[in-house]
Amino acid sequence: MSKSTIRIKARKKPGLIEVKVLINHPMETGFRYDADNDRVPAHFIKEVECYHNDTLVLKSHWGVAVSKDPYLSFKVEGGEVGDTIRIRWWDNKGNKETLESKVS
Amino acid sequence: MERRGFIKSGVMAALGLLLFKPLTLLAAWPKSLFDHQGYSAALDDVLQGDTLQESEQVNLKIPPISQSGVSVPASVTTTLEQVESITLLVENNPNPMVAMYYFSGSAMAYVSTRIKMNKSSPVHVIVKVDGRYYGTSQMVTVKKSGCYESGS
Repeated sequence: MSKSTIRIKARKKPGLIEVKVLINHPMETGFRYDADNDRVPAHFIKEVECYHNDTLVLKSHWGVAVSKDPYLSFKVEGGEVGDTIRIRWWDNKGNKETLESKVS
Repeated sequence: MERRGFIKSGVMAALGLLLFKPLTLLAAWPKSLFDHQGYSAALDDVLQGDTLQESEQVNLKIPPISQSGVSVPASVTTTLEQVESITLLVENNPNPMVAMYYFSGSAMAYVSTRIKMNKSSPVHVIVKVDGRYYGTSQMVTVKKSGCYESGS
């Protein structure tokens, strides 16, 4: 199995969990032209879901103006070391991926 | 109404309330919203006929000057409670709509990301609370475009 496109850092802080997510993705705008002067088709993540212990806490809809290799940080109230954070994304070409990580 | 029937309808109403928030979370990707090519049309679509109120309780942290528009860090915090969603727009981008974040359960009203900017532009954040919209904006000067470059 190839390496995940998703990296998750979930840290317990006083009263909350701080989650930082990095996703490897080209996030092509569809406005760009390549060396042969052909338009590079849009290729971007449209939806991201974030779960804390199987509960959906954050859902987002993205357009092409989210930067290449997207970064997303969010916070969950309370929580404990060992809780599970799960991230799932879908893009406009039907690709998708899910990864989960424990809070440390 | 018979007592049993009355209790039953109360339970159904309570379930309806519980189901309301997850339904907004399951909304489909709003293609028409992301396709708008002008800021006022995109803003009207976000507000759905309601008005936007400037609020000091909404905070947008973004650098006022950026050497490149390829990846501009933007963070939103708010002291407003029961936040349903946060929306980010870049007024002078080809498509002003950037992203929409919907909060539920124990999520805190905070989000941090990196965005592309085509040129210098006001960046707008709109926070939805109980069907009302509160916002703030900040001007960002961009030295080099982030929409058409290779690797953007």
